Amino acid sequence: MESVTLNVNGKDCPVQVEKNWTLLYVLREVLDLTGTKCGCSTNDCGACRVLVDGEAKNSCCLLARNLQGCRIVTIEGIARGGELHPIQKAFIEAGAVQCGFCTPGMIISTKGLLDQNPDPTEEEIRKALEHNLCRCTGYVKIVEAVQLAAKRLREE
Amino acid sequence: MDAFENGVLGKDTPVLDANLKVTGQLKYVDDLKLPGMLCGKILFSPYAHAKILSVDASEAERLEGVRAVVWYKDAPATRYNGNGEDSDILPSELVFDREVRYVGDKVAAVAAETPEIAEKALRLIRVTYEELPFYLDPREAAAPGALALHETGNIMEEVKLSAGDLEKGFAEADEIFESEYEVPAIYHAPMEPHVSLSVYGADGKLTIYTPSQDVFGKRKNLAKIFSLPMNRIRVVSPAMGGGFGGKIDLVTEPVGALLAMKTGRPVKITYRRSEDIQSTTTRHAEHIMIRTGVKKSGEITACDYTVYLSAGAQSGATMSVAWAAGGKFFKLFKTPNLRYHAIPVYTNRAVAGAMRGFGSPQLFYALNSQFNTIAQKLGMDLCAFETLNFFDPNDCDRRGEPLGNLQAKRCVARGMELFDWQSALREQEASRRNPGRYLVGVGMAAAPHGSSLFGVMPDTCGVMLKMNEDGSLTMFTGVSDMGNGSNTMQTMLISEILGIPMDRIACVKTDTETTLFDVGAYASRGTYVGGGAAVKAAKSMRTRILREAAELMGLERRQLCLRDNCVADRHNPERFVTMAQIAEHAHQKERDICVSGVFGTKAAPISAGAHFAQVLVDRETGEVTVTRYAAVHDVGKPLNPLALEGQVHGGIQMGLGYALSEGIRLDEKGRVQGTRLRDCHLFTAPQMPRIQVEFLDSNEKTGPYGAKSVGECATVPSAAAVANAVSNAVGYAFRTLPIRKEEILCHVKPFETPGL
Repeated sequence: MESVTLNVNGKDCPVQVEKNWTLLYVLREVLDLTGTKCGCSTNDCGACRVLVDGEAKNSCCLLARNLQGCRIVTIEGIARGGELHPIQKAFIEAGAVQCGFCTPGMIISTKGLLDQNPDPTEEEIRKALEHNLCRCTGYVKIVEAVQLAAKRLREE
Repeated sequence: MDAFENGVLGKDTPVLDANLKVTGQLKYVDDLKLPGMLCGKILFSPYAHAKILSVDASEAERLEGVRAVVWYKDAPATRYNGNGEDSDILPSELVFDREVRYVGDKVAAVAAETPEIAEKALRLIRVTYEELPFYLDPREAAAPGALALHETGNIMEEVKLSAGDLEKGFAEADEIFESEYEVPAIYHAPMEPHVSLSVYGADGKLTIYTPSQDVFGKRKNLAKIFSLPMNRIRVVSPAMGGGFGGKIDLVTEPVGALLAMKTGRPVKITYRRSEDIQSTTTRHAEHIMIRTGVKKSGEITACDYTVYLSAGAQSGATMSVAWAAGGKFFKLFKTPNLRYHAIPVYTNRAVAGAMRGFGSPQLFYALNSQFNTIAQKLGMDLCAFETLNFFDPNDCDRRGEPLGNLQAKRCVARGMELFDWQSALREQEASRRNPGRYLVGVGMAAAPHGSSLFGVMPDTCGVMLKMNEDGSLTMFTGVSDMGNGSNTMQTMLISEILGIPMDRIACVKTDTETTLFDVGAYASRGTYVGGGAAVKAAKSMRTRILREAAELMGLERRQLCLRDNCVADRHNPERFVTMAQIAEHAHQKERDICVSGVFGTKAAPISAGAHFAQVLVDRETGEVTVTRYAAVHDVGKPLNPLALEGQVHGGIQMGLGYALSEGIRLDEKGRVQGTRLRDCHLFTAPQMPRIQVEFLDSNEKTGPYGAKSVGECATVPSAAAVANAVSNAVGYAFRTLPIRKEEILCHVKPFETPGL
């Protein structure tokens, strides 16, 4: 076991981790943040995406011990206080949510994209979601949700 | 009553639990933890077919932290069929058997304090096997002399359905076409892998939390396997991260139950993705032969369809799939002389089961592919050829089964407009005349699907409604929502009928202990049957509410109407009582307001869809890009357009993968090639085309507010439309799915870069 302090959703979390524990494992099993989903643990599906220093990454392939001091944002940290984030609202309104298992990862990827690029083209949106798999929606309404969220965030 | 009075139906409505889903708060089964919970892991067979000679688990059992190791010696002796619908048909499976029948079959299982210990223990179990001959192709398994996988033999039960006089039909034909098709097994690939959490208490009660499309079917099977009365089994599906048919059959549950019984501790089994790909059910791989006779006019005079279904290692839903696809064979084309012959055969691969479309994606891929070839040969437009042979609304099929208000012809006609079929054909023609690096092709396919299990088995659903003290409601429903919005649709119907806002209707779902029986989430019955039950319960609730309101207001019931969370005087809307006042009144009179409604189907109306695709085929690489897509569906009255569109979009994503990229490949030893999710080649966001979706303005008079099904129909014609587009682009009739680039390159002339 070694000690590492992760900054998760704005809060410093000192944790004891084994060498091979992934960030996904620590989030779900140690910190009880189960909003981040395990769809494959092989870097293929994007259900476990979190923001690491502002960049969307698959937490199943990051070792927790390498993330000392990194700012990690999970799906639990997206809402603004008690209110849903415009991306979350857009996902709901656009019908981008079906079974919901890919949704946290999709929203994280969207946040990562729109923080960098507030006015993405449709192609850029699709590219940003390339590593997030969804079996329910055909991505159609997810892309629409990202467009809607981008528009609203630009208007804020 | 049938107009949308309260303005709920017909409006875009997101899924009820969307807030929980976008915040990560919805608890799926793998998110649940119970005190003392153990981790269950399964040891899988490395052989396609073998007899287990011995199991030595002594070393595993001695490992610190291991609480139980189970294998065939611990398993109940009852053979079962893990599919709820088919639970009485050919029960072939044991929780653990002395014989393993595919690579990935369950051999033994461990319950341990941590996943690491459980995995280490699996490696310490010593199993000796005697390898046996195995069959990956159903035709080999069906051949005389093949070693039987089960006592009943390798051919399960052949299904033969026919209408008219086949020989006469072929005699009338001007031309006869024969072709064979090969389609692969497909992995459902829900984003949530299979998982279950089993609890067995000192009271002798077994509780299983599992994402399930069929909690009642699973309870029925578990009761049989473990010889427990149903009141001592509770199956709950708290949330489901996608199903698509894959979460109907028992997978991890019997093993988890056995471990929980053995240890007295809660046991969670979560499949790794590789295990999920290898050891859960699949779409049936099939070998299909079709012989079709046509007149020069395009009229189909006879069609003879033979299919070998690769059932995999156990019976599962195979017989139902064989029968269901047989039924669908008769549901779209009015050809008088038809024969369907299905030969379902056990094979040494993962169990084939229900998957969205239930045999129809294979059937309508093959039919639409052959019809594409026939139309070309006859010099006819495919749309014209197919619609010439379609049934009309309210026809009966050739075996006398009513089709309901089937609007297949209109789907094609509207799709041609939406897609601009004529100009798409011109683009294809231009590409043929002057081929560049990219060949343009367009394709179309149409398909029907049912809306319930009517005619197969009693198809019922019960919904309970309870009014709370403040006049809000709680709905209790056994309908499994896979994310497709079934529970949302039920709530919309109740809200519409009662004038109670949706946010004042809570939903308790899929819990065998608290909800009334429902057959399960298959056969595209969610809206037609689950919605039908919601309507029935809501109408009973309406009567109850009106009774209380009439008494409270001193008015006749017929003078009253329900709207805006109140009951008002029809003629004097200022005079009203709130639902809260009604609830209070009932309680004062020592009454509760609680009703139920059970809907049983009396028809199986047929929905329809027509899909249109345009592709570009790269002559240099063989790669296919789907550039444009349109789908028009007849779903009766669209109740929730947002959800309906989502269903069709998702169905198309599956169809594109079926046509071009997916398909489970086995090596010569029967091992799955590629057990990572990336190896499944699901279509990704950048690969998806622009999609246009439309629903006809239609009405099914037997359905809830005119509605019928969409879920499966959304995917059935999809692969066929894309495959036809590719065949038309290349000018070669591909007959194997998926159409891989290597095969395309064999059939295109190499592109020569101009100027070289």
